[in-house]
Amino acid sequence: MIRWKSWIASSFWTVWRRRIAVALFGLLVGTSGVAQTEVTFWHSMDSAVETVDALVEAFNASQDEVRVDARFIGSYAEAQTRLLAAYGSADEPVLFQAEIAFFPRLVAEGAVQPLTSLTNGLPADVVNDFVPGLWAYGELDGERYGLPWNSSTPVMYWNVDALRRAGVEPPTTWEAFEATVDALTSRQAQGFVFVGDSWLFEMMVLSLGGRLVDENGVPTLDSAEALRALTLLDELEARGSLAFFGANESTPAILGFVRTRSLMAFASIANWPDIRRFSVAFDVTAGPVPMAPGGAVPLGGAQLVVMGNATAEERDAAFAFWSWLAEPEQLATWVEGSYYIPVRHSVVPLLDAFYAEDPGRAAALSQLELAIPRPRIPEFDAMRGILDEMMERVLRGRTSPEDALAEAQRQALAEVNR
Amino acid sequence: MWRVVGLAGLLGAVGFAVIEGAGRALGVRTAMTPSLWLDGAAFALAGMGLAALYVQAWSRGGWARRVGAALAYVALFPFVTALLGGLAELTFLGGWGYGGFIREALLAGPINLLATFTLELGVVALPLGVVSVTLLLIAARSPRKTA
Repeated sequence: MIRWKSWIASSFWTVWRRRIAVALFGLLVGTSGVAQTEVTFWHSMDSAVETVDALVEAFNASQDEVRVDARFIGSYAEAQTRLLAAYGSADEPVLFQAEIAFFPRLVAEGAVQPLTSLTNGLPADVVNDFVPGLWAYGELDGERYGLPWNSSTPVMYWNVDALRRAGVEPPTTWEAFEATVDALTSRQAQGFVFVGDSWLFEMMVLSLGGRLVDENGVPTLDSAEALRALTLLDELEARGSLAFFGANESTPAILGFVRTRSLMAFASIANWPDIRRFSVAFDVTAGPVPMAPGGAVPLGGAQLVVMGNATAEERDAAFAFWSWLAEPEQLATWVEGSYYIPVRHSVVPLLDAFYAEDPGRAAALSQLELAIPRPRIPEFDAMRGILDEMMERVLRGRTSPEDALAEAQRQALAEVNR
Repeated sequence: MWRVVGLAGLLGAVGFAVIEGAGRALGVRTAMTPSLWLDGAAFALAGMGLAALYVQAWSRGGWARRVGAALAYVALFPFVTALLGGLAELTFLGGWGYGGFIREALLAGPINLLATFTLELGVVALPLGVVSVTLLLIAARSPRKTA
């Protein structure tokens, strides 16, 4: 006992006591560092990148177990290319924002993780608060793979001053739309600018009562409604009333609209912030797209998916991040910054002032009851390219709508039967 | 002076015809107003107004002053033309009652014409501008013939 006392009092112990204390402190700090799980999040929210960054920063500051590293990696198409390049490698992100036509392909190829066990743990009142169609989108073959966050529908934008000057009202039917576009067309401007993106063509077909893929997953690109939609575009273009831009030319199309060289357009409600970036010299607003009886609109946007390479800790951390993003307060912030549709019912009252400021902002929301999912077959991802090319061929004057649709249908069937 | 100003008006009208023709051929909308006549008049008047402003510098200035005035003429031409076009549209086609129309005519108009002269039809408009201002310089330096 006396020996212990003398040893403890010795200078040897005094030195080592300090070293052990420092080592324990270092271990503690080191351990707490290891406990923070890193979630790389690839997204395509160009027009709302500041809002995404602010939300991520707020989430990272709100807790110390998960750190999200959000990276804007280009448009949906560019993100798709980059993901395929990184697929299976260490560069693959943990959380990825998959455009909804790309989402079924990722699931079919086993590239993303099922999340059913995690969503099963959500309280029933939270699940029931999601808009049913938007919540169901992430489920395929009875398993959940996608988490809703950014959803939209296509809307019609117009130059308010130009319609006032021409003495016409925003059209609600396709017949009125054609007449309005012609009435707006003059030496100064074309009545309508159209970006040849498959989603917008799908909107026209659906709103006329048709479908691009039937209930059995068979393409129906040569339907009567598709022919009517493409013929309408072709005739407007032939009369000089339509300014056509390819699927990757949305920026010059927006510039034409901002410069008042074109006066009406179809686009996602989430493109509104893109227009606001410019100093627009006229009043602009949005409304529902023209609709035939029995018509519908396609849902747009993306699903958040957890990639296959993620560890269980990373998957849980990504889910924790999404759970935080999906809280009503965060969703309200998100909608105000991005103009996307609120994916939960309880968010809508929080946006009363936002929608009251300009009722046009609620155009996509007002179409929600007519919204249906895009075809959820893996081959639809390839069919989008077929549709884009078909519109290019017709609206650049190289082929007739009938021939282009027949060729597109043949190519789509070949994709499905491959 | 009036000889040069008159020539500038003529060159403005010719420039309008060339731009209008090139725009139609290439599918580029160049119009400032719904009326061909109003657009043509705006081009001609802009040329005359700017020529009246710079004719002294062209006829009596040193070479630096002449070149500076020529460059200013070319640079200001789209803005003055678009401004006149916007004012004409607002006046003759009844747009003064709406704030949106005024913004569009006086903001979007000049931006559009500048884009037409530089980006969309620059290969036509820029050589045209150089030729026009060269002719005006020569005319301003030439001694007037007296009978």
